[in-house]
Amino acid sequence: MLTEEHITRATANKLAKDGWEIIAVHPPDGQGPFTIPKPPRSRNIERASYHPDIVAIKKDNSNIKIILVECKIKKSDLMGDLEKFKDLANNPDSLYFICFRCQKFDDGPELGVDYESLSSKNVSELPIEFAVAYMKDTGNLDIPSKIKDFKCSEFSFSKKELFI
Amino acid sequence: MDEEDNYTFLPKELIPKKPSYNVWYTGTLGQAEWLIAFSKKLKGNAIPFSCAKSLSNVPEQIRPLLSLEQPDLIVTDNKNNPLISIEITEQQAFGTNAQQRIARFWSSVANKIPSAYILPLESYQIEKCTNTTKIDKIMNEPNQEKKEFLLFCETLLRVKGEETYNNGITSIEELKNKIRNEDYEKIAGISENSIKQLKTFLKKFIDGDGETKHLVNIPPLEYYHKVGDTYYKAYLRKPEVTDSMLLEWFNLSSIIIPTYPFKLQSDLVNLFRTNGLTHIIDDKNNSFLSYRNLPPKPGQTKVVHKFDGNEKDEIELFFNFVDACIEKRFKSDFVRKKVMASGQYWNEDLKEKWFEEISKIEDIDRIQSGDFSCSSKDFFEFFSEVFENIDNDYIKSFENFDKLHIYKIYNTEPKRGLYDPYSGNLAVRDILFTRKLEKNTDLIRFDRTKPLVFLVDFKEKSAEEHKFISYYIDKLFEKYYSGNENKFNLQEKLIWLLKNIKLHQFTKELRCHILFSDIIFIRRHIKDKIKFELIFGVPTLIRMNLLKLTDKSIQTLRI
Repeated sequence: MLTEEHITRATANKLAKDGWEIIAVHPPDGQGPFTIPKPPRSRNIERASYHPDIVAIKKDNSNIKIILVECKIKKSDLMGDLEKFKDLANNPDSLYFICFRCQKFDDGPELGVDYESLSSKNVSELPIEFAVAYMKDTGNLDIPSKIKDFKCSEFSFSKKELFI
Repeated sequence: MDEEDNYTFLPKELIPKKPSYNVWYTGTLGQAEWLIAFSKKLKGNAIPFSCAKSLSNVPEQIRPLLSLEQPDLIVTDNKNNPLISIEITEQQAFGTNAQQRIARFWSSVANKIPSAYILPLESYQIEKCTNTTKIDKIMNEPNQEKKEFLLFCETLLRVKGEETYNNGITSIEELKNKIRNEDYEKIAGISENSIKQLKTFLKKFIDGDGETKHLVNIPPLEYYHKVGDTYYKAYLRKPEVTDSMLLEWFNLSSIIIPTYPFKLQSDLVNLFRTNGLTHIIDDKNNSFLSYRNLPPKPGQTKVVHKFDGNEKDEIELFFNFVDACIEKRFKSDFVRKKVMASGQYWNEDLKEKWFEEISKIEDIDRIQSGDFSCSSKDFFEFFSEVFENIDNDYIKSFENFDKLHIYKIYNTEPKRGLYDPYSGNLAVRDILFTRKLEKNTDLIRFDRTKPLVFLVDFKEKSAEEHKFISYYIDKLFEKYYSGNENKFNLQEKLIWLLKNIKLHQFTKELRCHILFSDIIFIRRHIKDKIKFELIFGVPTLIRMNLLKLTDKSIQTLRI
């Protein structure tokens, strides 16, 4: 039986192979440790806070990037997730909070952003990316390449790839 | 099995052809597979099964353990006889929510099935701040040493940094020495009483002394952070009153059957990423457990309980306990007795805050919510107007009790149901305050030493609109009773339901409330008058023989 967890795990595996460090994973029906306070008056995020399915961080030359991924079995079911991303992209406090959670500090993780310097930057310069993941051939939906100022990418997996 | 039909991520070599054990899960499949992977008894011998949402589709033998609430995992033999019930939570118990999951353990204790609760006994929290003027002043302090000192004081809660600094204590080391020497005179905000608590905090969370290795206090410079226009604080949450009740609950329940909490460990390195919680991220040896937000594996976190010669971390001890339960051998306490009892995580003096002994019944209205112990006679006299229309046999059933335990809550929001956290909170009070527990105690008999009154004050909008409890009883009665409804009053309807339906068929809005409370006493504060509602719960009904242990609802509590 195929579940959303297959997509989440395949995506996390792919990201890890591509050099991303996985910070947090929120399994379907489970508890998510990486929480972002809900943007005010957001109708697209039902809970008090937003828990992305996957959060990962990567050092790319001298830059550090953060990626948030939402997963669904069907591509056509990702509409709501794209709306959540739009909400986040339009809410500077949420975007700064994502960077705040991924910061480097004394006795903290080896890889992290310099939050102090990021917090003085314009929100459009924050090193955040979005992505969606789904199983191939599961409907049509236009996935934008950018959501506001932030890159948005997509990962798709064949059935075979999901059961490895 | 076809790959596509495979409902588990377990590798083929771990899927037994003839399983000796089943792992039933109501949480995530990942938790069940984590349990199987690290238990010596379950690995290669067990398969996970999802518990159906409807209890009628769950094996009969485990239904009683799910009848009040659903634990995350139940391990059974291959005939579905339960061996251990397990709950895993990442959120630290906080305030009244600390006890909300306890009803699921109550069912296990009542059936003499061991259980384990993996939870953060201490944790790091990140919270929005409100007092921004004070924080701005600290964060903009130009003298870096003073700023760090002021931030250190903030991590100590009650200490007023600026005043202390002005009193001549100007360095962190100086302040620490004053605390160690209990020299509180120049420490602003601290009294003769609170210096001892501060000294204990310093010892446990800053100096790291003692047999239990507690979480490390937040470094001063990481305490406040400005995110956008909002300040957040990262702080250490240590066990308080409600947590001490929780640990004592486990301690007392373990008189009957081992019911043990295990500490989910946090680490400062993950402070901002996951509020400190440690997980399995990528497990090379068990790749099927990677990226599933699972608790750490045995040996992944540091050893925190260094007493009784223990050299194992909490997760390893948890798995040792699971294996012991599967083998039904309980020779060791897995160093739990010290973890649960006062001394390591809570101090005996917190007991004084569990409830207030009151001599005048009017004193229950001094505070909006809380626990009280009072004279039964005074209670019935004070509310005589309410009880005068009640069959006197009900009142007589309280004659042998000098005291009552009153658990008082209030509610102003009609849409806010009374299930969480009160279902669990009542289960806590049932064990903590109303019984004398012995090895052979049968919880389901409800042999009281002190009856439990659940006193609900509905105010503002709730006074007129909240549906607890008559609406739910009426609705259930309407659903299950097919005769003439008019001849029954509310109490009779409840008795009929308890005799004729299974306990899990009672909706969560009233299930635990009617089970644990001797009296449910509701006051609706409408304008200048109070409207009372009253119903007697299972303990009273059993005591009066109006309900028998063989009646349907009670019977369905038992395996």
